[in-house]
Amino acid sequence: MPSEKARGTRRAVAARSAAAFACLGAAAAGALAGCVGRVGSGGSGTGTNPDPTNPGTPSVSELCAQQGPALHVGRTRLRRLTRSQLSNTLRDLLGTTGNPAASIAPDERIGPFLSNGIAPITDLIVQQHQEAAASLAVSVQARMSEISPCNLAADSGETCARQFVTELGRRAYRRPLDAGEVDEYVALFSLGRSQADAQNGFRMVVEAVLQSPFFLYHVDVGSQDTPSMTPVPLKAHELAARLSYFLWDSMPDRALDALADNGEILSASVLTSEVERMLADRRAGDAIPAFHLQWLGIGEMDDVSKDATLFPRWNAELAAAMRAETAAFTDHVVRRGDGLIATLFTAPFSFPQGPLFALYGVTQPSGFMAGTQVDLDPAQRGGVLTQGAFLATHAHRDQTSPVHRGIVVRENMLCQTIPAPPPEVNAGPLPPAAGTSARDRFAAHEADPTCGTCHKAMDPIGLAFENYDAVGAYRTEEGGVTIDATGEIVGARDEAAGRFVGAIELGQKLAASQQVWGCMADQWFRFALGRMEANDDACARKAIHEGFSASGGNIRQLITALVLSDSFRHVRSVGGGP
Amino acid sequence: MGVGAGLAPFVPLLNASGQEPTRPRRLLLVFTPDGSPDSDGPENALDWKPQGTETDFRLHAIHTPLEPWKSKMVIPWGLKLSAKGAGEQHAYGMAGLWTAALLHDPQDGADFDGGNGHRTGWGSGPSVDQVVAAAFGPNAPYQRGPTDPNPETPYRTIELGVQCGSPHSVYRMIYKGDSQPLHPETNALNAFNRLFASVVTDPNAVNRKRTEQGAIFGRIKADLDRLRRKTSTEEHPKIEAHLSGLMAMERRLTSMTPMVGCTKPAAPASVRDSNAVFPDQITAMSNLIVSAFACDLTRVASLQISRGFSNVTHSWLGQTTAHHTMSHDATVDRRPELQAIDAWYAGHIANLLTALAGVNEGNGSLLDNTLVVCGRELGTTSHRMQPVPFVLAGGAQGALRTGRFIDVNNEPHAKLLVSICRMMGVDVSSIGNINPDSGPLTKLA
Repeated sequence: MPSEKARGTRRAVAARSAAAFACLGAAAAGALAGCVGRVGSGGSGTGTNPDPTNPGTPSVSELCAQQGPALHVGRTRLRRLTRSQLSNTLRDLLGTTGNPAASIAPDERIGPFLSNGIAPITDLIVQQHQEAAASLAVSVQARMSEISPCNLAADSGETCARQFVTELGRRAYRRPLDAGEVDEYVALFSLGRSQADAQNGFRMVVEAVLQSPFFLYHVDVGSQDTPSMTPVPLKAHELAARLSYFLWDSMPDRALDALADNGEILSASVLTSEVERMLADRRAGDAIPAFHLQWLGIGEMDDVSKDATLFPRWNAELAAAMRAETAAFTDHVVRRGDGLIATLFTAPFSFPQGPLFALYGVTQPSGFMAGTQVDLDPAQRGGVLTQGAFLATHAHRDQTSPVHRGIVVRENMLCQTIPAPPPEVNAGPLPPAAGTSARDRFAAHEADPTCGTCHKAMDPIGLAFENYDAVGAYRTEEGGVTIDATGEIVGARDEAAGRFVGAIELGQKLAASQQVWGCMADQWFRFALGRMEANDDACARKAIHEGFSASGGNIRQLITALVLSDSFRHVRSVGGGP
Repeated sequence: MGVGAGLAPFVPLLNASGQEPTRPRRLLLVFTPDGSPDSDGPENALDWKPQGTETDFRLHAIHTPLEPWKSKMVIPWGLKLSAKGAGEQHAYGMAGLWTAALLHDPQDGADFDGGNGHRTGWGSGPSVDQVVAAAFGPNAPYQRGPTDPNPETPYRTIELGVQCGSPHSVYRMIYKGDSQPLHPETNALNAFNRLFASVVTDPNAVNRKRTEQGAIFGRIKADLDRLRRKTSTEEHPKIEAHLSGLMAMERRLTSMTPMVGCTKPAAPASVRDSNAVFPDQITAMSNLIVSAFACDLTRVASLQISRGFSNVTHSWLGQTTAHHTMSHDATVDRRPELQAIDAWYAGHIANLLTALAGVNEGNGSLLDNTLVVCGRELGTTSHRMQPVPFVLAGGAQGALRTGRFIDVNNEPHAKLLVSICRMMGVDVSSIGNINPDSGPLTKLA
């Protein structure tokens, strides 16, 4: 029911009131405590300390203590492989190249991370999988003798067919097939051979395997082989698959298969050494950058467009170089560098290439090759938040966006949500103009008592990035006005709170905050398990936070603590919410 | 370039005896993004209202390209979207557009930014196209009666889209049911290959394909059954949904009839989504829908052009600012540019109508047998849910009395959805949960 007041507001908006931000409307101004909330279904704090902005909310430690000695873990849902998981798995299973999953409908997200665990599949997506499977099966027909362990064409009986389906099925299903499954595949092969030849039988088996739900979904049942209301350990094969999709975004290799077959993967020490081995493998070079790009809200970047007049240097090559830089940098820090969260947020070096050198104002070193570490001006660049990909993605076409940059820091790094502004607020930023800075244009937000309540949680963080324009170039003035990069984090739980100047200082501040460390640990949890944390995960999260903290903020140790946690090694499939 | 360009001529589908069968009714829902620009307030919001009488009227500038089709159209003036729930207007407008159903709060893991930080889940559907496609009746698209020469089509419904984004409550409008969004196919070449190129017509090849594909599907169904036994009942809807997709493909396998007298359209170009190819993609998808109807591959379809918060930059109109950004520009009067966008979309709809009218179906054209409903997720660019610029076109075999503009100011659009069902031969009095039991839009009759 539109009230008179709301009608008046509408009229004001429709009449294009000169006010830059039509933050008028219904909601009453409240304290920031009512504004900054939390991401996640669990409703628990991400830090180990209670949350001062939500005094009633227990910390992870308190939640864990409330749960008593019994083992609790959140519910595992049936998840379909993401597109990148599917393409990587096909590469490792059949040696295919390219991106065969590109024809599948886009993936869902859980928090900032891609994961297909919510909506049921649709008829269209089932058919897209069928089409991809059929086309791949035809394309690998010519390589039958390479893929099959024995000569299918030479055996008119079933011996070789049985061996072939047993081995292919074992790898595709990430577990040994049971006898019935093997028989059904052998029958399928025989039917295909009877219709034409052995190659046709081979094609039909491959086509069916690639559409089986045991191939397309992460199937976690647990050691009791039946759905359980209480946590049960994963079976060895399930644990191996969960580990490889976490660290490689793909299926296990033969070494990991062997550790699953003999059950050794269930031992903590073997699990730990596998994490080290797998992180060193080039396949981790898919998953580790994927985590960071999704965490930073950076997509493919082919849809980031900039005003060509204002930013003539913006083009697809620059966008691609930016994305590649952040991927290479995060991969380096986590897998080959010191592994520290502080380095991610503060490193005065990076891995720029191509047009990024000009954007950063750095001369390309002689003998430079892509992948070479390059020192940057420490007064201008430090860590992921000052890299082009983050800055250009979270900006408008014609100007920066202090709001968007602030929101990403608030939500993805501090794990606090910004709730709804009042209804009927729908104003974009004022266009950039001579004599104004973004700080001037966005001042209306904070001045307005309604807007200011929540925008205090984002704008003062985002305005600290004003030394970087909408494509991430460093600047000291905008529209003839000298930039004031003063920033402030309000409503944080610990040393993250307070005033600072510029993105370099912001990075240092975030790097030192236990709230940010706890948030980072929770983000890795979501990425690893493809689901939000639940209250039942509190003790596992506490252990992960503590492991990460004890290591001095080492992401590699965080990953190990996560893999060793109860939530990673167990499954509970019934009841208790998502 | 018109929609019809590049199409091979269609010859009417003939039944076995060579006589012209009664062609079925078809339903096509078309979405174009955002509202129409406001005038100076709701009391005075006359922007796009046609001027004149019910049968003698002048279209507003946003509808000018539809002028040649005026006699085949109805413009309902003033409808108010029966859309509410979580998120802000773009979000619940999308979820409610074809469902008149609430957009859920975040639930069961579905959690989206429905605008300015308002979180939402999925809509509580189903959408009207799915309701129509699931029904049977003598005047329905799917008849299953003695007069129906071809009781089933390969696809009950087809959902196509252009640059619709990833799964998100603001980017989806078609729902199979509560929290069951249907994602459109947005790759025209993939859709073409699925609908036309992969159709096998040689009888021997048909038999072999049935045998082989049937065996493969049987193998997968056995695995789905194994998985069901290992999985908690809370996840069974996912398994049932997978099975449903498999059975739909199986059905197509057993009802694989060659398309008698129906010519394959030309294959669309393979393109990667970008702002520049957006217009061509609309044309390609429109062509596919016309051909799919003409070849009786489906009788119910939807075309989603862009999405809520459309950020298409209409550079072909000389514009440099994205659509949604422009719609909230507080400093410059963008109404002329926004109306130019509306008219440009109306031009694409006019092309679609031209192509439908170009298919001869005996007593009339494909357009005469089709009901086309064009809708948007907002009434106006300032997020008012009224008046939504709906356009109805085509004959629906006489069920739609065309050549009119009707004043239905402030009527809930749930009534329009009920009327859509009735015009499609499906007798309901209620759609959705926002204006339940609304009954039909009586002025439309």
